[in-house]
Parts: sequence; structure tokens; C-alpha cells
Amino acid sequence: MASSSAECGPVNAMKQLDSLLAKEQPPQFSGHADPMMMRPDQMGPRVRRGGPNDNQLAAEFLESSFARPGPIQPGFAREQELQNPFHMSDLSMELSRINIPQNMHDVKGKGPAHAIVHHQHPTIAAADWAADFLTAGTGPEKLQHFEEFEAAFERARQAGQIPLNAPPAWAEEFAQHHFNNPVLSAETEAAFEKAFEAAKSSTWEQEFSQDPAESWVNEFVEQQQKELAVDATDSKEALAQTAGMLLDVVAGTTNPKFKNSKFLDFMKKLRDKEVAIEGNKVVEAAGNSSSWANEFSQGAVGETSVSQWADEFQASAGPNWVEEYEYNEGMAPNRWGSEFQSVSDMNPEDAAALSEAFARAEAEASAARETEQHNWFKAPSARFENYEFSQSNPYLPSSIPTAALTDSNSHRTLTEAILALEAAVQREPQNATAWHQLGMRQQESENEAAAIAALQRAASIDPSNLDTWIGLAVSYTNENYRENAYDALETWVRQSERYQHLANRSQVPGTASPTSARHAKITSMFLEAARSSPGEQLDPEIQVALGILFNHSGEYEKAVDCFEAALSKRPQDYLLWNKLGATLANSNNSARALDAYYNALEINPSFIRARYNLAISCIQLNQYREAAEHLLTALHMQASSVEQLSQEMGGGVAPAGASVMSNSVWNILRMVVDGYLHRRDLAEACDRRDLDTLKKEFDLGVQ
Amino acid sequence: MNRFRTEGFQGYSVDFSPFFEYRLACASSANFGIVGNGRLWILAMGPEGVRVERVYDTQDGMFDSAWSETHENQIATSSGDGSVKLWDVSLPDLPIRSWQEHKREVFAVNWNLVRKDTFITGSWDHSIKLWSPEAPSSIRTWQEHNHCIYNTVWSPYNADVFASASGDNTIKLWDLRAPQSAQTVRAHNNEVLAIDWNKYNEHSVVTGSVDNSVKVFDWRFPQREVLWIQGAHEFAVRRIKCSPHNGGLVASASYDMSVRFWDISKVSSPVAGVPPGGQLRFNHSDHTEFALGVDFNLYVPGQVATCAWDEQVHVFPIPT
Repeated sequence: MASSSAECGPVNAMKQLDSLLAKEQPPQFSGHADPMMMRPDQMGPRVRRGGPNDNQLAAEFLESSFARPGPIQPGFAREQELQNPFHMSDLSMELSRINIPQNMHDVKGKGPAHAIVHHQHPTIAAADWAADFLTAGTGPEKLQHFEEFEAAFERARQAGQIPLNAPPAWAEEFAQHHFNNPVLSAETEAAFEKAFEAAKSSTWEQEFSQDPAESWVNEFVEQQQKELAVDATDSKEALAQTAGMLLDVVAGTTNPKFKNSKFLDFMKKLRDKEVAIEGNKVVEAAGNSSSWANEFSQGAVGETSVSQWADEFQASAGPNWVEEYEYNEGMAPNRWGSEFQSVSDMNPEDAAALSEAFARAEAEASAARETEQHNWFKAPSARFENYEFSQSNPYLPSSIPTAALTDSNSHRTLTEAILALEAAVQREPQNATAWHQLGMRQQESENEAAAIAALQRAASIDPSNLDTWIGLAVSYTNENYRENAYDALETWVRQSERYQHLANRSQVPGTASPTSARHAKITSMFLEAARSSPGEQLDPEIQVALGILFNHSGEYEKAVDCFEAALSKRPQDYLLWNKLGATLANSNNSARALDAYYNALEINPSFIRARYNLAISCIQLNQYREAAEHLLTALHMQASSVEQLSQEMGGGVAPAGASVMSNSVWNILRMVVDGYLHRRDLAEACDRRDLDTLKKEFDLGVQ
Repeated sequence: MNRFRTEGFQGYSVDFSPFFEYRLACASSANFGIVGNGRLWILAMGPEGVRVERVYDTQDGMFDSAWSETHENQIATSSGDGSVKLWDVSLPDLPIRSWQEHKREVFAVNWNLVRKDTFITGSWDHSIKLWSPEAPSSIRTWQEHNHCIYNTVWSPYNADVFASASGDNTIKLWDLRAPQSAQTVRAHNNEVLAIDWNKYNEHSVVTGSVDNSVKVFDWRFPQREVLWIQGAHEFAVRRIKCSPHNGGLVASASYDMSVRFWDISKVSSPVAGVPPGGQLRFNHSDHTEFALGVDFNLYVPGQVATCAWDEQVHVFPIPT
């Protein structure tokens, strides 16, 4: 393992270089300093980072100047690309440029770990530094100036001395980085520029001309110029060029298999623009593309609507990709298949194989549309039909009247409520209110499947209960069954006297409709409903529905606003606090999420789900012991509630509380104690459902 | 040799089931994975050859699969649209779980071999995520690499340790118990596309790169590769697998359309200071397009499967 401190004593230049670079690692990298570093990447959506990449550049520059005569490689990463066009990532990246010009923003923005940590370094007087740079020798004081050098090198480079086809987002981020880290004073900069020019004209050019790979250099320059000529938005051109590059590299092989490669044929067609990629499809170029694009103009992908789609994409991050693709798939498999059949210059074998494949795809797609099976966001209809009751429910044989069982004031804890309500519905299977309450309590206990089963039953008995539909929308959302959630929300509107009129304009629920379009429709419906009761009169139910919808589309800021608005009307609604917390957690605001969860628990301490969510957020914040404690508290509460009940109901066999305790809570707890706290013994206790051992370990007092 | 045609789809990865010696999965994509759908093939080998047990289709290309180590019928897959899905092969058509968190193609998915309760994914969005089949969202995300992540693999020895290979030319060693990577090694001068752990040497990994070479590294001595097969292939090395039966046997699949088997046990070096190379044991050159997948059967020593963009899955014994 490389030592992180610079070595003492005279050693050769390379070693010093290594050790210095090792020392200057920003904190986010390994504690064991590593002299070997990343190469900067310079193409498209893979955004440059500051810090170590500057080191790298400097390393490369100096390495080549001093240690080994050879071509200076300002765009050495570019060289890589030339040598490795097999990297499908190139093609894919070009592709994503076609479809998602905004993609680079997404990649750029993600994750707190992306924060670039700049290390401070002292500024050095211009004269010294420039002089040092000009001298061929190396010495320790010279190496200290690397950071300034790198920063300045970057500036020079950006200023155009070395052309790069940097897409705007990259340049923007770099400019920011640059702004945040002005290291050199103006004089130093000037000195550097001078020095750089001097060095370049003297050693650099010589090395260039001595370079046996001169032709490569020319090619590279040519390529750069070509790159510059390519507009960033002309991605099809770029795709064709990438395909061309790939073919160039492979051209040299003697392996006969390459001549017959279908993949390379495909690349040829891309390069020669006989074929192009549009959206999710491969498309015959020229003649047919415009009509095909028109088919798509309704809003997904096509030549004319790239920006539209990109906007949609930006507005709805991540999950909607799938929706968009689904939409595309559903749109025009017919026409696409027949277009392909009219391909004339593909060789017959290919055409046959392709049209076979498409005919099959078409058949599958239409079959899927009929049976609605291709929709990942819709639950299979039979999935939640049967509610599984707890075994040995102490309320079941008891003589307590049903009315008392369903009286929520008599329920002291969540677990008690569940058992009481289960008994009630077993006695009175048509009692919609009881089913509804049971569903809500199960939802609060982190038992999603049971919640859905109960709520579905309630809704089928009494569809006029609006709360049931909202409850279903929430549970479906949690299980990622979006279509079902939309169904529930639409039905809610339909059942609501106040907002019914809005629903008449939309579709009947259950009709196959692309998820993204549906989402947009339903959201606008609810927004209209919200507008009809503005300001002080705002209807919290509408706000909750909107919050759920915005969670679907990833617009977490808006969802937070909605839930907060609803909370202003219902500050004691612990479910709302939990929803707010979950939205914050989903948008990586774990710290704020904790507050919301605590609020929920203050109002209702036996709200298991909030504790579970709290634990998840603690894990996100690396607070593993706290997470375990919250989970254990939740489990303890569930178990002791059951125990207490069985005692009160008159001795007998203590019911197996495990059925009422949530499996998901146990699973997460096990993961925490095993993977994060690394306690094999505790993990085994989890397997045994041995709550006592775990409670002792975490010193949990009885609540 | 047994062959199977993954018709209409180009194979990206093959994985033998850890529970059944006759079962293997192939993750594949249409149009070479550039656009279009993906398909998971669940195949079974029998006396009459290889037949299909099940297929599952996905919206976007499928790049990798990983069998569950705890549930004999479950398998996780990763796709081009950033989604990760869990399937139960006893249930048709739909996945039993679907997660959508990665922002770009998910190129690798791998199941924990020791504790078996979690799996990791590596994506072109530069991040690695840890998942549990039970949890509705990822448990952890690591964002350190500067470039696409091509492969992430769990250690066969240590439940908390895994490694990643990335286009930033490095491989990283990770430990679940620490927030950041434990080690970063600049393994090649070019993108590292493949990595696998040696099943018989706790500290050893084998890497494959766009520089056409295969290297062996020891995490205890990361400055220098232990072994370097230069020019292992004519083009980039896309997949590396270490044999579960023989610590000296490594398979590499490449864009030069071949899958080669190397003996890395003989560590004599011809020139002092130069790391030793490996010996070619067998060259499987039957594929006619880029070969991307190779895997060893846990139950039948010497039996391997390969897949390639020629829509072929080959299952055969390595000649001794």
C-alpha cells in the first residue's frame, strides 16, 4: 500500500510525482492513499470533476514532458475513445443525447457524494513558480506547485488552446469549479501563460515532431475539428460518426468473422445513415422517417418532438422513463413492423429475421394490451383478494359486542385495534366501516398487503366512502402499483359530490391508457379541484391526493408543499406527518424527514410505520444503532400489545404475536444488526424472532 | 457442445443457478442492447439439449442477471432504463419486485455470496447501490467512481466486501461497514470492464480491460499487478469469471468473439521485474459476434456456458 506521506531524500522524478499526488487526495477518496488515479472523462454526460482529475492532467503532462518523450496528450481521454469505440457506452451516450439532451444534468446533480471537495493550497509567487516550471530538473519545492499548475492548465485549456467539444453542461460545471477555486493570482496566471507558451514552443513541438505516431496526432486533430463541426444537437450525425469510428478500429483485424458480423453491418448502416435510431426504435432513414415521426408527434419521441419529450423527462425524473417507453411500445408496433418489411437494401435474411421479430413483438404487444399484463404498474387482479387473518385472536371468542370492537376510542394501541377489528369483520363480513378501519390500521402497521386486501373489501361493499379510496391510493403507491393508484384516485373524484363534475371529462378507469398520459390527466384534474377551493378553504383531501401524485412523478418539492398545506388544516393527522416525512426522505432530505416522523410519533406513539420509516432514514444518515433502536421499539410495542391483550382477555394461551408483527420490520432489523453493526449473534436472534435478547442488548426499557 | 439460440436477442450475460445444476439464465437485449426490449431466458439442460423453461420480457435491454442465493427460484436482473427487477421463475410474465432508482443503464447485478441477504448493482450513472429483496428502495448508494461502472462483485469470503470495475480505469474495494471505498487501484491504462474474485485466494481479483489484457491483483499489494496477460485478446475483454473449482483457472470473454480459458497458477516470470503472464488453456472460438458472457457450473466441474451477440448460448466442457 502506498504510503501517504511524501518520501524523503532524493528519489527519481516519477516517484516523487506519485507520492505527491497521493498526498493530495481529497477526503472523499480512500484513506489509504493511492498514487494511481482516475482519468478524467471528457465526453458528454460524464461530467468532469475537479480535484484529482487536475492532478491527473498534471501528472500526464509532466510525465510526458520529463519522464518519457512522446506525444503530449491534451486529449488523452479522447485517444482512448478512438482506441475503444467498442464501448457501447459511446453509442448509448450518443443515443441519449438524441433523446435526452438534459440527461447530463441529471447525472451531474445526483447524490451528496458528488460534492467536489477542493483542497486548499497556498499560492506561490509568480516568478518562482514560472522559473521552476521552465527548469528541466525536478525538486521538492517544484512539486508543491502542482495544484496551481493544474488549475492554470485547465484554464488555459478551456481558453481554447486545446479544443474540446465540451457540451454546455460540462463547461458550466467546470466554470463553477473554476470560480470556486481561484488559486492563482493574476500575475501568476500571466506568468504561467508565458511559461506555458515558452514550454510549448520549445519542448512540446519538438516532441510532437519526433513522435513516431505522428499520423495519430494528425488524425486526432482532424477528429477534433470534425467534432467541433458537429453540433451538439445533431446527435444523429454524432451517432453515425461514432459508428464510423468503431468500424475504423475494427477495420484492421484479420479475423474473418468480422466481415460477416451482423453487428458491424448494423454499424455500417448507422454510419451511412441508412438506418437511424429514433426513440425506442430502429428506423429506416430518409423516406419513411417523417411520417413515422408524425405518428409520434403526440408527445413521446420523434424528430420534431425531442425537446418536448426532454422537457417531460426533466419534469419527471427517473421512473417516468419506463412509462415513456411503455407508451412508445404501445403506440405503433404496427406501423414500425410494416415499415421494416419494406426495407429494400437490407439483405433478405436480415429483413426476414427482423420482420419476424417485429411481427412477434406486435402480436405480444396487442395481446398484452388486451390482457393488460404488460403493465408493471398494475397489480394482478387476484393478488389482494384474500385477507389473511391472525391466528389465535383473543377477541374472536370473546363476548364483547361488535360495536365496541369497532369503536376506535377503545383501541389503545395499533395492534389491539387490528385484532379487535379482525374479530369484528369475521363476525360481520359486510361491515364496510370495520373493513375500512382494519385496512387503515394495517397500513399504519407497515402491513401493506393486508391493508390493500382490507381496503379493497371495504370499497367493494361501500364505494361511497371516500377515505377508503384515498387509503387505497396510498397503499398502491407504496407497492408501486401506479395504475391501481390512479384508478383509486379517479374513483375518489367520481364518488365525491363536490368534484364529480371534473371526472366526467376523463376516461373510465381501467381502460388501457399510457401511464404517463394518465398521470398527467389525473394530476390536472386534481389541480383543477384544488383551484376551486383556494387559500383558506383548501380541501386537505385534494392536497393529499396531489401529494401522492407528485410523489409518483418525483416532483418532491411540490409534494412537500401539498402535504404541508394539508397539515395546516389537520395538524394532528399523524398519517400526514408520515407522508410528509416519506416525501422528504425520498428526496434525500433525511434530516427534515426525521422531524416529520417524530411529529407523527408524538401524536400517535403506536404508529409503527412511522417508526419503520424513521429507522430507514436513520440508516440513510448512517445512524445504525438508532435505526435498530427504533425498529426494536416498534417490534416491542407490537408484541407487548398482544401480550397485554391476552392477559386481559382472560389467561389461556398467549397468541403467537408474530403474525401481527411486521415481517418487513424484522428483515430490516436483521440487516442492520448483521450488515451494519456486524453482530452475528443478534442476527441469529432476529432469525429466531427473539425480541428479549435484542431488547436487552439495546437497553430498551418497557414503555 | 450444447447450443441454444436466443432468437431475436443478443446475449449479455449467462449465469448458472446456484441451486440446480441443470438451470441457467441468459440476460439479453434486442438490437445489441442499443435500443429496444430485453429478455431474460431461463434455460434448462436436459438429455435432448437446452430448452426454455421461461422467458420474461422487459421494456429496455437487459444487461445482467444474478440468481438469488437464498431462494431457489428467484433471480434479479438489471436493465438499460435504470430498473432492477426481481423475478420468481415459478410465476409467469411479471417480476415480483421492480425498483427504479438508477439514472442510467444498470450494467451489473450481483448477489451476496456469504450472507446472501442483499445484492448490489453498478450503473453507468457512476453509482453502486445496495438492495434487499424485501426493501422498497435501495439501502445504500455509493458514488465515488468518475465514470461508468461496468461490474460489481461480492467477495466469496467476506460478507461485507465487494469490488467494482469502472471506466475511470480503476477498480475499488468496498466494505459495507465503511462509508467510503477501502481501496482504489488503477488497474489498467484504459477502462476496466470486468472483474471477478478468485474463489481460492481471499485477496485476489482478476480484471479485464479495454486494453485487451487480463490482470490479477492482490489487494494487499495494490501497486503492481501479480500477473498480466498482455494481449489476452485482440479486442476489449468484456467479462471475467474465476472458476469455482480451480483457483488457477480463469475465463475471459471478449469483443474479439472468443472466450478463452487461462491458467494463472504458474507464476514464473521470464523477465525479472515483469509480472508473469498466464497460459492459454483453451480458446473457444465458435461465436461469430462479440462474446459477452461466460459462467462456470457450480455442480459440474469443467462445464461452462458462454453467450454472445450471435444469439447463441453454448454449454460445453473445457477440454482437459
